[in-house]
Amino acid sequence: MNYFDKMRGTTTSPPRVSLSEVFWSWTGAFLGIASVAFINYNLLPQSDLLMLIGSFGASAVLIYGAIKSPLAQPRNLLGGHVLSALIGVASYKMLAPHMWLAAAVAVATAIAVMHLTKTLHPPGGATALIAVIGSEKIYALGYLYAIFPAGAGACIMLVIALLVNNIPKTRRYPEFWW
Amino acid sequence: MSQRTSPGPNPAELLSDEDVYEAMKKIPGYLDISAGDFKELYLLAYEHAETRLYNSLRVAEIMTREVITVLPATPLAEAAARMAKHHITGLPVVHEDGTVAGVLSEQDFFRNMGDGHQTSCMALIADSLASGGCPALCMRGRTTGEIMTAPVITVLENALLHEAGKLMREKGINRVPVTDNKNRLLGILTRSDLMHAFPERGTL
Repeated sequence: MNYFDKMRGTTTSPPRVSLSEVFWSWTGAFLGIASVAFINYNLLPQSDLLMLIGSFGASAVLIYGAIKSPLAQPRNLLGGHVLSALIGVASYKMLAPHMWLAAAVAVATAIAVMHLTKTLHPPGGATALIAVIGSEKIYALGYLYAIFPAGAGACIMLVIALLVNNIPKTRRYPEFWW
Repeated sequence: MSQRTSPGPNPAELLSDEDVYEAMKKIPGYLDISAGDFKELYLLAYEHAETRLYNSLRVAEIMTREVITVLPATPLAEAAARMAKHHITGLPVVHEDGTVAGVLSEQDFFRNMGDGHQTSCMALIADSLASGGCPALCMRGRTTGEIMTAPVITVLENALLHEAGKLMREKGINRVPVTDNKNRLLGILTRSDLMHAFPERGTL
């Protein structure tokens, strides 16, 4: 196919899902984010820990809204967040004064490592980037960031996904674990 | 697609984007794949399944079991009439006890007609029109056993299909008698059996 022909696209977009699918996606996302957000805002504010990062919003799209996707499976969810978090923290620690470079290396390397470990999970790219952009609290966590909030938050959201996604007859989760 | 002449079109090639779209609507939940990707995947999976089957099937599973045969003593006139009646270009020759004696094909007739150099029907027609004689007459009164090809290549019923296909391709033969381990005829494997079973592999 010609270089410019490729830009025109070759196929149709997938159909819109049913209203029941919309309902269960909403319910899962509400309960999943509610759990990590409640812990973050109501149980942890006095500590140095946190449980909520922006990339969980993206994970919610996948594990409650596109639950059949390979990108949304437990291996990808947990592996993607934890590995990307480690890479993000390492990039910040090694390249910190050059923030543009630390940000780019963090995201690009996170994608490469997720590919190599078959844990590709798009929100992992955000998890790596957040480690570089930070907040002072995130910088202070250091490599602990990979466990709190990245790993622990992903685990909590996974439990909610297992509980909610398997209620309706038309849904099941996961497709595979590892 | 309507121009295809092989026995059956590959079902995967008949799939339209609309077919895939309608099928996707039947599966609840968001499918993280485009119709185009699905078709590509389906085509490759279909090819893989075909290769897997081709590599694991045994000859006995697709051979023709109702075989028209003749005896070595059958007069050529009768053998030719039988081939004409059943629209076949060759048949196995079996002994009274059912064991394979040889194969009788058009080529055997051609070799024994005229000066023996013709290998096609048109060459024979040209030859007889030029000479004014019928090149088939010299075979009158002769029997199958005298002109058949023997010994012949046979395959065992439990031989793998792809091995038989390779053998036929290498030896340039269109049919091969299938036998048990006592050389008794069980069926025949023809190029068209292979074509019907694996339309996509056209040139087996």
